[in-house]
Amino acid sequence: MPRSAPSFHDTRLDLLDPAEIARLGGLEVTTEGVVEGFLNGLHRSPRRGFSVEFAEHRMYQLGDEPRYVDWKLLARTDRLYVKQFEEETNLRAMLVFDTSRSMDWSGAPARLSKLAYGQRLLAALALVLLRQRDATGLILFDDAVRQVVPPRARLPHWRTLLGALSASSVGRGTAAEPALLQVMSQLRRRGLVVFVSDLLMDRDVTLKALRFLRHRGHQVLVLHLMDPAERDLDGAAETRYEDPETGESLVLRPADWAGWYHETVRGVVTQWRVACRSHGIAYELITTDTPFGLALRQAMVRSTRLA
Amino acid sequence: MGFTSPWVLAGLVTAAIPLLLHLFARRDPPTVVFPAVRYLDQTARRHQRRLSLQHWLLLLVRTLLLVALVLAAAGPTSPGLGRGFLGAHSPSTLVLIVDNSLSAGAVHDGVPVWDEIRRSAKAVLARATAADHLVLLAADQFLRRGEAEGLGHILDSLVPTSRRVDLGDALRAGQAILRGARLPGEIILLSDLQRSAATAAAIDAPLLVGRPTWDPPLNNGIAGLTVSAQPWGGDGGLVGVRFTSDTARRLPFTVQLDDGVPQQRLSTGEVGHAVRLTGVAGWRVLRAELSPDELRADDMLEEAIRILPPPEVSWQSSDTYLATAADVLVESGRITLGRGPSRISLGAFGGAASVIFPPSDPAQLGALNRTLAGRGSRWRYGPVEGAGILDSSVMTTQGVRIHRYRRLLSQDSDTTGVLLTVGGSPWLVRDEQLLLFGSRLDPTWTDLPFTAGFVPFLDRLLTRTARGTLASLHGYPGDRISVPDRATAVVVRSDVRAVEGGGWFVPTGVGPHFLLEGADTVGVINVGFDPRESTLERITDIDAKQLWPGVRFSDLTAVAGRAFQAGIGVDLRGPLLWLVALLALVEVGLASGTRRRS
Repeated sequence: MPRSAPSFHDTRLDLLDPAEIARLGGLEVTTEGVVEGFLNGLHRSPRRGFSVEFAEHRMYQLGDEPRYVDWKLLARTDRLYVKQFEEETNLRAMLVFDTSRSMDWSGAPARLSKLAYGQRLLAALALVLLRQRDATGLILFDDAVRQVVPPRARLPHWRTLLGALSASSVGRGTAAEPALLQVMSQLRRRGLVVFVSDLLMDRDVTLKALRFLRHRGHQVLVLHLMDPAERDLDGAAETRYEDPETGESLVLRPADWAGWYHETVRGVVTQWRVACRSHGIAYELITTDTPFGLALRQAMVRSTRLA
Repeated sequence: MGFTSPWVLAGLVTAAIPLLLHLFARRDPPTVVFPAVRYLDQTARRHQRRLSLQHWLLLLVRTLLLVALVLAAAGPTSPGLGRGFLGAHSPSTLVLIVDNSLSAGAVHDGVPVWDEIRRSAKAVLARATAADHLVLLAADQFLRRGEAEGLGHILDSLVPTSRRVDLGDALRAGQAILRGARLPGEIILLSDLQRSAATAAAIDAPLLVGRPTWDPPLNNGIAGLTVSAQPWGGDGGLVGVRFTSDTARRLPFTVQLDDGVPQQRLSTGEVGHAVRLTGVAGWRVLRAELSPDELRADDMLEEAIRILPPPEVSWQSSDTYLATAADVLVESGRITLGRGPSRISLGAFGGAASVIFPPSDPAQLGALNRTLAGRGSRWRYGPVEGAGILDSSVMTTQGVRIHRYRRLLSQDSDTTGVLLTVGGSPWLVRDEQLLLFGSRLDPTWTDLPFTAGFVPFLDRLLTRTARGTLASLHGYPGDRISVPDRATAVVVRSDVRAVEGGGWFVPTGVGPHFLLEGADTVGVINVGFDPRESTLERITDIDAKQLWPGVRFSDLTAVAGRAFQAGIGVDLRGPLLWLVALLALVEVGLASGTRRRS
């Protein structure tokens, strides 16, 4: 029998190949499918996920779920109140996304570019956060801050975020520091900062900004996006490699350099990981061939721990 | 350094291929957009020096690899390097000349010189490789090519011959072989190096001469026999023996006719010490022998001689002068008067041979010419000619005046058989069994009957000329000897070899070689040895270097160790191929080191 295309109902889209999912539809549809699959997976998990610690009551409003109605208080006061929990009210997340030119690159035609992958990953993450009623905002940057979407906790806010992500255009260079400092103005209280980038930038400056955020009490999660072709240099003939952002080029034979290059990349990742860990910053390396579900799980686990 | 295939050196241009590829490959590489150039840059800064070094090393190794391969293919040789260190010599052409002439049979300390020469030659062949081109040249002048083993078997079959070897000729033959050879080569001459055999030769090929170092022995040999005119009659003939001697002493020698009583004399080798021998009629073998010495081959010599009984002759008593002379010969036993079928008829046709004179009566001339025609003769008597002088180198008939004679006319252009002439015109001719005189032998025709040589002239005419000429030829082994027209075969002992009359015959051994015409023996070739072979004196190295500039000398026992060295050199292909293998290993190591990083 010919194999039918996966549907949202019978397939865990979060575990499919990212490029395959991207071919199923637009950013919104595919992201919802991924999140559905991801959350279904979570329910089956012994880890229930979020904090359920009671925080305060508020007056019932039309549209509130009946399960959150405090029936005991209704019996005593004859008024409808709904219960609100700590996470639902306190967590404010800012997604900081790198849209520089280096992100718009894929090592193979069948793979998503880092930019496309990051868009889908952040859309899914935002949906998950908003479903938890976490206020979620978005900052897009390249060599400057390009767009800022303030954090909101309402679910329809996801479409705003989705729109910003979809409309994000490829920028030029990379300067993360202004974007990270911009977070300060958006998160007045302690919150969660998710920094998604290929980290092809000045590490010291970026780390300084991240450390500052951490110093201000924010939890910081760095998602390092990398194309597999950036990790393992391929090819045999002599090639001129050109940086899409700076235009600098380098001529060498991949066959000669692949081994040493791999060592360098591994060293760079290790340096980021060690530097982040030493300052309480969570770090995850995600290659663009990783299924969104796995990437999302890593991100959520990290963010939950941080929260 | 030399090369067996120098044209291959053109391949050295391939050594530039790695460098050209390196430059060409760097010229226009494709451009690829790659965000992580900063990582590449970090990597390059850290490892560039090491990689560059490896690249240049790889380039150098590959270039050297190609150079070594091309050099190896060109077959390099080096005369300056020791063979023991580098292994076998390079492929070469070796012309090995072995002197198995008669003198090689000389014995020193109980061992023939030839045995030493052969042993040395086989030692040289043992050092040859399968790639060498070997040519063996011996006294018989046959070129023998082949493998070392096959030539070794040929050497085993060679013995000292009775031939003389001219070393100059042999070296020139060797040089001609080398000029036509593809491989470089050298000539090795193994000889007793007789001074008499060494002749000058301009040799530009490397030449190594192996010769004994001991002094040659003293030797006496028979240089030849001097035999009185044949055929001998009943009173036999005289035999003289000529010697070649290293001493001035009188030497005892023995001469013997067949199985007759040996006659021993003492002589210094002068012809004056002749010995008279007699024997029964027929072909007889005359053997002369010296006392044995270190070279036995020249101590004995055999020749065949012809002994015939007095011829039976009939004559006309009316020929006063002729009859008187014949009577004298009968009285001296030189001829007998007879009427048998084997007689010689003087002045008439009949018997085995006829001596014919022109008729005194001109009216009988026609009848005589018709008789000649009837007997198949091509000669006719012509008109009478005037006076003249007999053209003769023989003392007995020299300067004899001829008053008149009838011109002898040949019916065809063949004028063979003319024995004596007058003013260039035939006077005495032989045609098969006929002897035709142009004059009658009386004073009205010629003064010959009045001369003192008339009787000897008649004796010679009857005992030899009228009975047909006997071919008695002399030669040395290897000489080309022209055989008589009528000869059909040559018999050497019991070996019969067919020959073409008038052609060449090359004897290989010494002794009498009988010439046959059908079943009749019509002559002999007495083959002796060249007396120069009996002189064993060796040429000095200094004198030899003047004859053969550039020659190197060696003791016979040490020749093999010096063979395949001069001018040819040591084959460097083996070491170069080892170098190629080593470079290939280094190349694989460097290249795989690069690949491991990838």
